Amino acid sequence: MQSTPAPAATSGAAAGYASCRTCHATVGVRDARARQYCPVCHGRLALRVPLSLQRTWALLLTAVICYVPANLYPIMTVTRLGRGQPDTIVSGIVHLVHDGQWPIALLVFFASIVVPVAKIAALVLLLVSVQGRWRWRVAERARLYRFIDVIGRWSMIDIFMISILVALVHLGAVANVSPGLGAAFFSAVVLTTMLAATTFDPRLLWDAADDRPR
Amino acid sequence: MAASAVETCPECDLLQRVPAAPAGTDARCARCGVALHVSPRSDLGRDAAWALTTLVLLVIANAFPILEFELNGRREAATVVDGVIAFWLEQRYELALVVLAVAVVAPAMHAASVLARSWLIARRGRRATARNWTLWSVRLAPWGMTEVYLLGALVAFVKLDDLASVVVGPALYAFAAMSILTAWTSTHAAGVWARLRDLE
Ligand SMILES: [Zn+2]
Ligand SMILES: [Zn+2]
Repeated sequence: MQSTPAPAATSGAAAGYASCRTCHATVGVRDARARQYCPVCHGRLALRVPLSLQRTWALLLTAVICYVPANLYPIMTVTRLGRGQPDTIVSGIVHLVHDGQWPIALLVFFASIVVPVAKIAALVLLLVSVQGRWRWRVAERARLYRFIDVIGRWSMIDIFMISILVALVHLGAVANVSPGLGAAFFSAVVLTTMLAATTFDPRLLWDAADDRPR
Repeated sequence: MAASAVETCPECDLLQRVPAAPAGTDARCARCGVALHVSPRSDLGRDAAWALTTLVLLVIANAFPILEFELNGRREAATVVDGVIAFWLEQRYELALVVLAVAVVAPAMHAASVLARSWLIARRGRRATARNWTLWSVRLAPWGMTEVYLLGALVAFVKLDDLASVVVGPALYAFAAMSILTAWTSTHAAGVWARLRDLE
């Protein structure tokens, strides 16, 4: 079932209504500058997420900076019969391919490389499109935002895998797994991009397309 | 909610009149098409059943090993918390805290708060208390990563398989059961807020 838009397509913000970010209640706002709280969930009401673009850029920049050491430093070191072999994210996937573990190699490739890179790229595109006031394909960009908001968490697969291996394999020189600095940076990438997705306000995409300043 | 209420879309902020949707369906935004979740009320009994089952599965998931392996006659087993402790002992404190938070604390607190909110709303308890538990349940939901942990454990299994003989522990089955259960019952939080509004 489709709902009917108000006669001239207006945003809630322009008409003095705030949509609560926590419980999605529609609440009339008397004064946009005064503090007002949601009657249902008692969350702070705002027409748009405050400083959404600045906070998203800051988190995204942190993610990009952490992404470099996350890939350069080993995420773990596997020792077998006295010989230690450090593994980066990429070399870990290469080993899986050499072992013939194609499905798992693909899974890790998607979770550890495709998802973080796609997420960072998509957020940059969304931020630039808002600041450039693009009118192009707003609905598709809104869908892209919903998608990256959902997939981000899957990048944690490698961190959990390392956690289990380190706990399980500690037989000294015979076999041992220890975590690397790359894993710490990689978890920072995952967490900062997850936070960046929540600080981005998708309503700004539509504001920009309406070409009406908030 | 009254029929034909004025709503703003949470995704695109379009102001629109939303007709009362027939039972089992959801009105969609006239501009961006997302579900507006205005009509349904969440099933409190089902939410509570989900939360109770998840809590029981979480106990199993933390009490038993995820994987066990044997090499040169030595047997090793690891639980989720062993993974946290192992990171801590290797001085990767930040990783220990991250795994503890998203694989143990957040899933447990999320399930506990869903149980608490369902019970309080059904018993018509104090609205402020019910609201606080509902807030916790909504805020914690994205940070519980049991289904991601399940895949991490499967990758660990495959990585170990060429090193030694590996056996899947009971905790892995508990993680699998939790993931299936959550995928099957997940509902939008809007239904809970509607229930909370009814408490007035
Ligand atoms: Zn609210
Ligand atoms: Zn919309």
